[in-house]
Amino acid sequence: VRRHELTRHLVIGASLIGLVTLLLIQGFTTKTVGAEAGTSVTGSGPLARLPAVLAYRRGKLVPIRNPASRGMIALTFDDGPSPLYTLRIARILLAAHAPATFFEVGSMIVRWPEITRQLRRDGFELGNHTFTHADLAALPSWASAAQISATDSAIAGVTGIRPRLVRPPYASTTSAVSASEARALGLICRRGYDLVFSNYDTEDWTQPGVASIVRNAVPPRGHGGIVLMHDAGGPRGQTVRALPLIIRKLRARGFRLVDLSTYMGVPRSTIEIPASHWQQLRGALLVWVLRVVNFIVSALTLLVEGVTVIVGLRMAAGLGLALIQRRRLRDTTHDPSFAPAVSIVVPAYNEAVGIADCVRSLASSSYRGEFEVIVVDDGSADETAAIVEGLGLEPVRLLRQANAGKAAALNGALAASRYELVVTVDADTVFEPDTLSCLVQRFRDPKVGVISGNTKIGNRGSLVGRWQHIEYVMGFNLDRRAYELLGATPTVPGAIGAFRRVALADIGGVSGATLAEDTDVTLELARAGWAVVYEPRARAWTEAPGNLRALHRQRTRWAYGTIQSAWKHRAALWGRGEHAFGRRAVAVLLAFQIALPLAAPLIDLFAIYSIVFLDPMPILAFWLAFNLFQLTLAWIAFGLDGESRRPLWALPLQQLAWRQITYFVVLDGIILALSGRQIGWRHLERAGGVVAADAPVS
Amino acid sequence: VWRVAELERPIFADPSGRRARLMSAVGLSMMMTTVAAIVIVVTGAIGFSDLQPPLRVTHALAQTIHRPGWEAVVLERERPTGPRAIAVRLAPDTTARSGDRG
Repeated sequence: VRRHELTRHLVIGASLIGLVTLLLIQGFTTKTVGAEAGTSVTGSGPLARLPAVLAYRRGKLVPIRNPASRGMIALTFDDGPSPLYTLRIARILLAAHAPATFFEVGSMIVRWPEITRQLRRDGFELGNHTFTHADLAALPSWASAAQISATDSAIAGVTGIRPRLVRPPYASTTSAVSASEARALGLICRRGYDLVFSNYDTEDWTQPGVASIVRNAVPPRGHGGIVLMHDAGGPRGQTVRALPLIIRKLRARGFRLVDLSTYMGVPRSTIEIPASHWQQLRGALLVWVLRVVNFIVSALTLLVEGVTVIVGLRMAAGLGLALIQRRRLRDTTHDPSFAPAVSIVVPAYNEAVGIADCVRSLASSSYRGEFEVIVVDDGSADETAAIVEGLGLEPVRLLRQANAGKAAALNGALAASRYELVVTVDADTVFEPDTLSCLVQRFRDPKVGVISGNTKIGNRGSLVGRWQHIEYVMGFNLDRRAYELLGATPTVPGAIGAFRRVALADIGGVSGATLAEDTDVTLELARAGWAVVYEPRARAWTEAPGNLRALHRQRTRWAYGTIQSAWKHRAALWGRGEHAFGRRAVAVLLAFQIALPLAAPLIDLFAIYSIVFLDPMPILAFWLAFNLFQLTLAWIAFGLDGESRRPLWALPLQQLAWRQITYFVVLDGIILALSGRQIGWRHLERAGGVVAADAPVS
Repeated sequence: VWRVAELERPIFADPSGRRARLMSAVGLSMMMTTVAAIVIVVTGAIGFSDLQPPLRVTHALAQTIHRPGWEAVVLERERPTGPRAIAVRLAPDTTARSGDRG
């Protein structure tokens, strides 16, 4: 069993690592971290006097000059490919029989590989403009090498060639290169690349107007050179409109339009080296992996946005509905004369530590009506049965059975019970004297078949106990109130629930098919059309797991049982003739106890992703607002429950920790369900000592 | 009539273990795919040739190989990113005296 548990946890861990890896790959291949444009220099840089094309020879950057280039103009376009502009520009160039060179960004090639392929087919030269349009001087040498290599691979994968020409972003001319940039560019050149700057920067990225772009692109007669334009990275409509005019004017001034290899006076094959089969395969794989990663991350982003909206709406709606339920409940009077006979059922397995307190609290109830307490010892190996017998309390009966599980124990007690109302209580739970009378009050409405009491954490001294205290107070005082109004309560807790015997008989008693018999029975009753309501004044104090390990064991059982119950009652969602109560309850269970916890790690990971790769301020502001909203809800919930708000200091950490625990156990439960393995009841070690505290409930 | 809860078959139970084996295979494949994707991206971005040690390191390593009558020769090939060592091979040491060869 432990080996299987370890395997499941390994799979969950690997899935998380996979998710983190996806985000890292996507982040690093589409966003540039800490490498935006640095300070630019004008006119005084170390390369200021050099021409626009440089290579690395014998340990230093040297110019490549072609005496025949004086009458030539090489048109170049940066930042593409772009689905909006690149092919429009290419069509204009082709129509005018004007060659040109496109310096492409790797991450854009990954998104639009067919455009790069088309450019190659149309005879245009291709160059390398880094993978994420990064300022190479601002990156460590390994990262700038990776920027160039990855773009190289992407172009090789898409076109079968490896361009040797690199144009560094943010440095349009050699005079704009700072000393640190020159060092970084030297390292790139040492790897066999030639650097291409420009002589005439059209500054089209500033959208200065068509006339200005044309003016910048057309030099005086006899001053040939390299013209820089952009086919992506922003609105490029002006560039597209200016291009035919530029071509016409350049030719009118006697310039010959050439590609860069002609301008440099070298064979084209030396600046576009054929890639080997392996390099092409590697490049194609890189492009496809990144495309898949981009698709997955886009889908996850949509999911996270949807989930965020749902969570926000749920919180706001839950609060509104809870306040309405409280007002309605206040209006209903407590009728002490309503005291029908009640059978209290306590299933117990190895509960020696707390059974005496539980049974004593039940037997000493101030309830005016007749009641009996039936304790079912489910084959305990400890002194549970002896302790109950030893108490010698008058309304208490003890039933013994061979160990058969909680559902069987409950059914045994139901068969032996005498009265029309049945209250189920966990053996680690303690009632207040008036709990019973408060609990049954709402049975005055004949449509009500099930009543949930208000479960309180009795051992809240530890941090884990405090977290559960916060969870219970918020869950019972906001969610349950809202669910009652919606007619969508998915679970009446095992610790305190009241049932009409006839309702339970309708469904044949409690099923043993799931590990969450309380959820299972609630859904079954809701599907049968019985109204499920919540009575906050009926309080039961229960013992919660005292450490993370015990909590994990309990929550894994709950999560698995919840998934079993949702699956068992799935037909409620679409079946004909299903009652609306059941339909809504199953929908709530699926949405908020299974689907939402699964999205929790996505939200946290995307928050970290946004902080690292995007502008961190909006996400930090959102996180702060979310926590403040959550704190407001908790503040109100504690007020509704008459609880001290002092434990709320633990709320931010609780929110973070709870998300991790809930998604982990739900994921664990799903893997268990898919693999068909079963887990046992996972009985918790009890510490005992639960006492009923005194707090008014509004 | 109350049902016999202990006789009900637990939801999702698969005593044959067939689904568990299938899940293991699926989990393993998912992990392998993730690892493969990481390898492809890393090697695609950095390139295998860059993972090879620089020439001077390879030459230094080759000089540590001592076998009488033989010498370690570093085979180089010109790559777009500069010359790279592709292998170190033992060749007869033509400068050795006769009888040195082992």
